[in-house]
Amino acid sequence: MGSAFDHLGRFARPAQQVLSVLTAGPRVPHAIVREVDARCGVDLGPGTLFGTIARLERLALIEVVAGPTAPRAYRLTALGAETLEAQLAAVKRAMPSSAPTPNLSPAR
Amino acid sequence: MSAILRLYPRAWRERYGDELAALLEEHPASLADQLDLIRGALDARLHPQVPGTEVVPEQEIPMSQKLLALLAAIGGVAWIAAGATMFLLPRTAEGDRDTSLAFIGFAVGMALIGTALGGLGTRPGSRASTQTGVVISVISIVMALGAPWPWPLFIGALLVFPILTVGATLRGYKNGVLPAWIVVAFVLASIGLIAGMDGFVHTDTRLALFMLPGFAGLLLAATALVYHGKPATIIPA
Repeated sequence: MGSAFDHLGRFARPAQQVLSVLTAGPRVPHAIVREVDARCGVDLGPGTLFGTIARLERLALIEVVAGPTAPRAYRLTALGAETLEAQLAAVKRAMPSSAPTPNLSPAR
Repeated sequence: MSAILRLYPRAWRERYGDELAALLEEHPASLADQLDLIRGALDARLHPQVPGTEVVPEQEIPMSQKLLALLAAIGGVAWIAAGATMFLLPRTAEGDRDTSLAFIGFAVGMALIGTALGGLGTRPGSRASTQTGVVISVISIVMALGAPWPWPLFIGALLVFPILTVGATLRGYKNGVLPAWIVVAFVLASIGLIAGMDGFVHTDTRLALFMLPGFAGLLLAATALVYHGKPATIIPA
């Protein structure tokens, strides 16, 4: 089955994990690492995390939350939520599971 | 750690450097994290994402390119192993190094590295470029088959090999399919080969220089596995 993130190569899975974490609201990078670890049991390395963030930002799937303080927080864009939802729907169609679809609206 | 961060392009550091530093304060880098950062720095240089820098569309490396990388890797290992046998085997009664095994390795290395370069230096879809690549590959194989005997052919092959490889890398660079560091590597390897040719049987330093094309072959293999072609510039939104 093809993924919406296939063209991201090795960053496809981290991209999906980061977007999933951001459905709960804006997060700074270290919070993203912590939550991906807690949810998926994956320890995102810093190089992989920022490679993923840079790609998602370039694709306008996430954006920086306006504010002068560092570290910056990232949030899901409407396009990011739509892309993730489409991706998860494709996964759900491919699996004979009756698991409920999570609410993927970007939290503000 | 700052040394690793300097591996990233300047534009990347200006954009993400503070955030990465903040992350590393919260989450100190393990050895695995440091390796991940090095890999990330390589990625940031090969596939820049920051506006104002260069980017190439991400795509899977074609299987043909992976196979050519494998040829270059085997060729590089054969060349280095050939030199290593000369270091390790005992000298003859005259004080020379035993070259019987080594010449086989040099011949195999020459053929495989030449063939890999012939293929990797061609621009996809370019008929003329492909024909040139095939000619370089065939010449490399013929040269290698002629080694180690007769001697004049082998020596001739060693003299022609630098011209072919440097020519192929320059052509690949011009076509945008090989990076500048491969040109530099094969120029240095050619200088090493020529400098080491007179005396590699007797002298350790000359033999070390003579082995440089093997390392260039390994670098070519590694490059072929990650390099997608000359990047284009991202236009800031």
